[in-house]
Amino acid sequence: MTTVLECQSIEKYYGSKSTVTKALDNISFSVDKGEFVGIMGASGSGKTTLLNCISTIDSVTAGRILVNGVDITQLKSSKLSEFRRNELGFIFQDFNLLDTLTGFENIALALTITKVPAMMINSQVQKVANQLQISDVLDKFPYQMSGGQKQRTAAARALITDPSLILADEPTGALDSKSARMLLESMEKMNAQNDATILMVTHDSFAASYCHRILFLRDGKIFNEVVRGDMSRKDFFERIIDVISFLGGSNSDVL
Amino acid sequence: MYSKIATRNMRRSVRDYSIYFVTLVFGVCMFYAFNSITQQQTVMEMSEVQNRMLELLSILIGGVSVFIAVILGFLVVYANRYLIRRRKREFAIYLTLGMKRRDVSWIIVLETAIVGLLSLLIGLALGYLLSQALLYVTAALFNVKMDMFTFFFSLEAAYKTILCFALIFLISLVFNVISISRCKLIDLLNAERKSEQVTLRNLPLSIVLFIISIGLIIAAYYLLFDNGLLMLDQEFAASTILVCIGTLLFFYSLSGIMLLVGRKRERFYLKNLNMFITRQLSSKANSAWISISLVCLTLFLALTSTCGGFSLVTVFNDSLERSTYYDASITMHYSNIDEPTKGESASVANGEGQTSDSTRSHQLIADPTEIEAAADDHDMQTALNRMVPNWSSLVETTAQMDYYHSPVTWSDLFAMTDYQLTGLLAQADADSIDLSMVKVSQLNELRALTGKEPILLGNDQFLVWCDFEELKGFWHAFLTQNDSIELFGTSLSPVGTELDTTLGQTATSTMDTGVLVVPDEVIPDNLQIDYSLLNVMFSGERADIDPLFNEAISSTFGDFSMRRDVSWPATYMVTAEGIYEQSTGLTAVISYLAIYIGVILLIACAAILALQQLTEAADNIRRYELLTQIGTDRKLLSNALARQIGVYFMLPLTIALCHSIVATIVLQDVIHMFGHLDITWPLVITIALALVIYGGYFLMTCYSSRSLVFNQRR
Repeated sequence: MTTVLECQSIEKYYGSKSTVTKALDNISFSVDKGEFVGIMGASGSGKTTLLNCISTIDSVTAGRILVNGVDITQLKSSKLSEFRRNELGFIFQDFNLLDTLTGFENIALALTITKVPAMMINSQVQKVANQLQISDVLDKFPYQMSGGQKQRTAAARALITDPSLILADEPTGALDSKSARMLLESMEKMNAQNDATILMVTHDSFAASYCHRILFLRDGKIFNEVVRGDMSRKDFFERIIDVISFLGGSNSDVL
Repeated sequence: MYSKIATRNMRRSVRDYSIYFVTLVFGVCMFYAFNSITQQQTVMEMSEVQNRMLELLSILIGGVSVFIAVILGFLVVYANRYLIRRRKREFAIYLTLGMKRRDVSWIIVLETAIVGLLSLLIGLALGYLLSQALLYVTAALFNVKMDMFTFFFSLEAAYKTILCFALIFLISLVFNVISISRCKLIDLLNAERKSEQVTLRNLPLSIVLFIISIGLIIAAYYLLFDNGLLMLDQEFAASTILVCIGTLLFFYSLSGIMLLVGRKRERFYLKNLNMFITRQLSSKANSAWISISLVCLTLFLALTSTCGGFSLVTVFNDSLERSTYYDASITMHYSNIDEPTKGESASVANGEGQTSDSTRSHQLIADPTEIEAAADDHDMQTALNRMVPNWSSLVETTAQMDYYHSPVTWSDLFAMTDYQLTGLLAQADADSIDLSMVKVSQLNELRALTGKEPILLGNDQFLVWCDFEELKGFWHAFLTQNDSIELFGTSLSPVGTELDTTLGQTATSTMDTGVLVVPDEVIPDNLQIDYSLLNVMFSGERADIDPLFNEAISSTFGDFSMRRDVSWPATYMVTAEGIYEQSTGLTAVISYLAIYIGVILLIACAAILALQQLTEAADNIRRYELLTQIGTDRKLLSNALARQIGVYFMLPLTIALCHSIVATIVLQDVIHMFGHLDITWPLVITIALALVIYGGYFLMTCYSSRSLVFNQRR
C-alpha cells in the first residue's frame, strides 16, 4: 500500500505569545491509498483546522504534511492552487456549488480549470454522474435540486479529476437522513470502485460508521483511533458511540 | 458619535466609494469649468464678433448644463442606490443593535454630506485649474493677447455648480433615506445571503426577439440613410424610435443568445473559466438589460455629437485659408435684397444664395440705382475711390467681376448629361434657376490678383469656372459629354475639360457652383448685370489695414447688416479678418460644446458600468472564494474577472459604435456641403476621448474589483 497522506507532528497555534491556543498539538497520522478515514471530535477539537491545513487553505505552525511524498507546507503560493486542483477534491458542508452554473457545468468546472480538452469533458462528466445517480439533474441549477442531489453533484465534482485525496468537511451536515444515507453510499462506492482516498470530517456517528478507520480528536490531539476491520457497520457504529461517550462524558455536543 | 461611525465607514469603504468619488469630482470639475466660460469676457479684450460668439456659447452651455445636471443627478441617485445596497447588512446590524432608524438615516445623511462636500471642494479646485486652461485655449483661439497670470475665478459658475450639486445630493439623500426606512429588517439581514435565482428567458423567444431586434436596427439604419438627416420629419422620428426599440430588444434577448452561442461552441465553452464568465455575463445582462441599453444609447449620443461637432469644426477651418484669399470682397446687388428668396435648397444650388429671376433683369432699367451705376460705367472701384476716404492709400489692387444671367438653366444642363447628383444636391430644386456667366477679361483680372496667367479664349469657346468641390464631378461629365452650347445665337465649344478654380470671393467656404466664362463680345451690351463683386487686396498687412478699412467703409455706408435698400456702389462687404473671427468663434463654440457633452456622457456611462461591475464583484466574492478553493489559478481568476468586466464594458460600446458609424456616415454627407471633410482628425479626437475615459474607468474597475475579490481572503 502506498501512503497518500502523511502528517508528521503538525502543530497549529493561534494567538500571541502570552495567550497561545494550540489548535493542533503534535498530530501525526498517515492515510494509505484507497482508505476511507473519518475524523471525529467535539466542536473546537481541531477537526476543521486539521482539514484546512491539509487542504492548504491554512498553514501549519510546525510539522510536515506530505501528500504523495511532497511536503505541501513548503510549497510556494503559486504552486498551491496547482496542488489543490490536481491532488485534492473537496466536498463541503454547504455544498458550495456555483449557483449560476448547472449541475453539469459545476462538475465540468473542475476539469476545465485543469485544462482538460473540451471534447473529453462530456463523457467524463456523464460517467461520474451515472455512478453517483445524478444524470437526471445535470441540466438543473443548484436551486432546482434537493440537498442530496446538490451534495452528490459536489461529490462528483470532487471525484472527477481523480484526485489523490478527497477532503469532505461535514458532507452530511445539511442533509436529511435519507439523503445523507444516499450520499454516504455514493462515497462508499467511490471508495470501492474508483479506489478514491477519502478523508472525512464529521461529528455524525452514523456517517462515521461508513469509514474504515476513525481518528478522534480532543483539544488538538489524537485521542483515540478506531479501526473497523471486519466489523459490520452496525457493530462499528456502536463502537463509535462508546468512544464518544467516553470522550465527552456526554453525547450532547457530539451527536 | 454618529459622525464618527460615518467617517470610519467612509474610510473603510474607500474602495467602493473611489469610483463614485472620482466620478463626482469629474462632474463638478467639468460643470464648473464649462459654466465659467461664459464669464471669460470679463478678463479678455474681445472684438464685437467674438463677444457675440461667446454670448451664443453662454446660452448654449446654459441650456446644455440643465441636461447635464439631469444626467449627473440620475447618476448620483443610481450610484447611491448601489452603494446602499452593498451595505444593507451593515445597516441591519445597527438596527438589531437597537439603533433607531432615524439614527441610521442620520449616518447616511452625514456620509452623503461628507462625500458631497469633499467632492465639491476637490472638484471646484480642479475645475478652477481646468477653467484657467480653457481661458488660455479661448485666448489662443480668438487670438487675444492676455496676461499669462490672469487670475480667473467665476463666482457665478461656482454658485451655479454648488447650487446644482447641492440639489442633486439632496435628492439622492431623500432617495437613500426612503430606501432605508422602507426596508424590513429581515430583508436587510438576508440581503447578502439571498442566492441569485437564475431566471432564464425562454430560449426560442430570445432567438425570435434577437432577430427582430437586428431587423429593427437595420430598418432604422435604412430609414436614416434614406432621410439623410436633411429633414427632421416622420422618417427621422421613425428611425429614432426603431433604433431605440431595436437596441432595447437586442439587450433584452442578448443573455439567452450569449448562452446559446457560448454553449454551442463547446471548445470555447469548456475551457478555463469560460463557462463561468459566460454564465455571469448572461445573468448580468438578464437583470440589467435596461440600464445597458440606456448606457448604449447615451454612448451613441456622446460619440456622435463629439465626432459630428469636430467634423464641423474641421470643415470650417479646412476651407478657410483657401476661401479667404482676398482681403475683402464687396458685393453690389442690383436687385432688392428684401425680395423673397426661393428657399434654402434653391440658394444652395445657386451658390451665391441670391435669387435670380430672369424676368427681372429688364425691369431695373429705370431704377435710380441703375442710373447712378451707369454714370460710373458700373465700375465699383471708381465709385468707391470717390466716396470712401483714404481708399487709394488702403487698397493696392482690385478686380471686379460682373455676373450676368445666362439663357441656360440648371435643368437644361442636367438634361444634357447622364450624371446623377447625390446627397443634398440631388434634392435641391434647381430647375428654374439659370446659370450665371462672366466675361473672360474680368476673370483674367481676377486671376492676375491671385498671381495666375491669363486665359486665352477663342471667339467660339467657353470655360466653366467652379470652385465648389461637390459639383466638379458633374462639370467634368458635362464637358466631356457635350461639344457645344448655344448662347445668344452663338455656338460655343468648351476649351478642354478642365475647370477654372480661381476663388470667386472671400467667404467662409468656397461656394461658386459654376459660372460660364465666355468671350466678352458674346454678352450683349444691353444685358443687365445681375450683381457685381469687387475683390480687394490691401496695400499692407491684412491685420494692420483691416480695422482702418472697416472703419472707412462703415463711415461711408453704415452697417451693411442693417441695410435693406439697394444703393450704388456697395450692398454688402466681408473682410477676411471678419470671417476668421467669426469662424474661430464658431470653432470655439462647437468644440467646447462637443467636448462638454461628450465627456460628461462618457463619464456617466462608464461610471454606471463600473459601479455595476464592482457590486457584481462584491456579490460574487463567495464564488471566487470557492473557485480558489477548488484550485483555480489566481492568474486565471483575475484574467476571468478582467474579461468579464471587459466584455461588459464592450457590449454597449460596440452597439453604440455601430449606431454612431452609421449616423456619422450620414452626417458626413451633410457636412460635406460646407466643404471638404477629412474625417481622420475628428475620429482621432473622439476615439482618444472615449479611450481615455472609458478605458480609464475600465482599468479602475478591474483594479478595484481585483483587490475586492483577492484581499478579502487571508
